[in-house]
Amino acid sequence: MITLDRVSKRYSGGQDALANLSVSLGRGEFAFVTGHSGAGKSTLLRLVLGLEKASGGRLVVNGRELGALSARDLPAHRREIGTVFQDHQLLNDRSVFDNVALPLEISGLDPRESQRRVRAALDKVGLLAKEKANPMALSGGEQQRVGIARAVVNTPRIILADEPTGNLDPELSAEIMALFAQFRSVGVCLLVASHDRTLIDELGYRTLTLEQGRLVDDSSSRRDKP
Amino acid sequence: MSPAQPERRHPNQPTGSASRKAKRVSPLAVHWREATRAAQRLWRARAGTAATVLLIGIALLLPALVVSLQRALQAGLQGVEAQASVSVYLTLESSNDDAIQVSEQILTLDGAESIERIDPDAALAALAASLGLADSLAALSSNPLPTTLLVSIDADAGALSETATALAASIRGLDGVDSVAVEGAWLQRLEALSSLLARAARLLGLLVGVGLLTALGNTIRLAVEERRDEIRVSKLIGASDAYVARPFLYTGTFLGLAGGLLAALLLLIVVAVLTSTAQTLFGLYGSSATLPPLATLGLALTPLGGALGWTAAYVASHRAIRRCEP
Ligand SMILES: Nc1ncnc2c1ncn2[C@@H]1O[C@H](COP(=O)(O)OP(=O)(O)OP(=O)(O)O)[C@@H](O)[C@H]1O
Ligand SMILES: [Mg+2]
Repeated sequence: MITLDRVSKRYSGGQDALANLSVSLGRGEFAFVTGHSGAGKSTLLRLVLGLEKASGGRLVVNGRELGALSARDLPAHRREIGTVFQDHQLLNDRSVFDNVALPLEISGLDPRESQRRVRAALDKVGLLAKEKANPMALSGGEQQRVGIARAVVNTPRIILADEPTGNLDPELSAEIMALFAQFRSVGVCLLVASHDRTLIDELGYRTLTLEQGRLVDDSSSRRDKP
Repeated sequence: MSPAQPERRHPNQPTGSASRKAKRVSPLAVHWREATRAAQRLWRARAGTAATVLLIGIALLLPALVVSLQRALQAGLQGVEAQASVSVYLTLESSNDDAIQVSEQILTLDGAESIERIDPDAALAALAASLGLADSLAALSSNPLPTTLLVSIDADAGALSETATALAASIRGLDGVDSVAVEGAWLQRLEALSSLLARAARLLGLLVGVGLLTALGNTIRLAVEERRDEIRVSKLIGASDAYVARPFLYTGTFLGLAGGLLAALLLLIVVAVLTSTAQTLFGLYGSSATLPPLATLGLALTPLGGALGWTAAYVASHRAIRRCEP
């Protein structure tokens, strides 16, 4: 579902954020991306989402060659991906409910159906009681979970998550990961950036380790091996 | 890696909807939603909305007023022009037969409709009666007045004063004609004024159009900027520029429609106030014309405002939204 073929990314005026990266993720695959701060984790996710254009190489996501995608086709590409952003990207002028409903509204989903799905998503992240609250009135961890609910609400085929558990305590982190695992089990492909070594080791999924934009380690999943 | 199991329900799929293809809202419902939201936003910012609507209304009123003035003048002219005529004075020695011959020649010319012949004796008697000088004039040995032909102009032959001038020129060349006078040269001046007004209205309309597009475009650009975060986040999660622009298109269209409606109302008021004055004025010039009904102009102002608003919003919002890169 996600294939990178010798992809590199150089920001204008900067050094290489990603260099010669070749990775392939299939249906129902869960992979962590880890590495030090500045290693290129967010850059990788932004490339897959089509927020940045690769400086070199080929990137195929959901059967689409991103380099050949026009600006007109990008929105449809993004609608098929659920994204948890490192800085949440919530809107403070509306309630938690409306934040989570935004992707459904953009997709033009029937409001009643939309309401059911938003409630279900909020329930999964344990925030159903706060649906009317303003995101600004929530803790960092709660905001993060709102972002997660918004990422999964539209039943995407790919989920990208940038530090989704950065502000969560171990128990909540485990719950979020269990939620992600549910998606994985129905064929959703997940790419999760994290530097929470304990969590990564504990779960034992495939782990891509970046160092200054280079893939230095690709440990395949322990748990799926026969 | 375990094989994916597509037959299993998506974890976030609520019970009952088995397929990924969920029920969509109709495009009409989406438009209705965006329109209501735009209207609500305008209402919440009433003061700014009122100021913008007033600006549009007054700006549109200006060319509309000039157009109305021109139409009124045109209508007035039509009432007066019915009386446009050319007076032909024959030479003193012309006989009755000569007069008939000249009349027949004139009637073959373009623009001449009918001729009234004023006999010199009748003219003298009328003059004497009006001056109360019957006795002294009766003492004249010969009649000093020439035979006069009053040629009325064919109203279908185009602009009357032009027709009259052209006709007078042709008549001047006829045998037995001493002099020719076009009655109502002032008509020509009014006609020139009327066409000047028409041109001014077009120019003013163009200027006002450009001005309004710029001002409204700026209003919309500010509105987009105000909601930058929402636009950026929406684009992050897959909203197209067209989707994000839609509420702003409604905002622009609503502002334009309201402005156009205001202009139409103001125009009606101005016309109502001016009508009696105009009728008095027309009466002074012997015209029975009234102000022409301005319903079409008034009706056109509202959709015109709406179209201007939509255009300004389309251009400005798409430019501003393209700059809100996620
Ligand atoms: N918009 C940008 N313009 C220029 N350079 C950038 C930009 N975004 C990131 N970089 C650079 O690219 C490199 C990789 O950044 P990236 O955000 O991908 O790191 P990261 O692994 O996500 O780090 P962190 O763990 O702190 O989130 C860094 O050196 C960073 O300075
Ligand atoms: Mg990052």
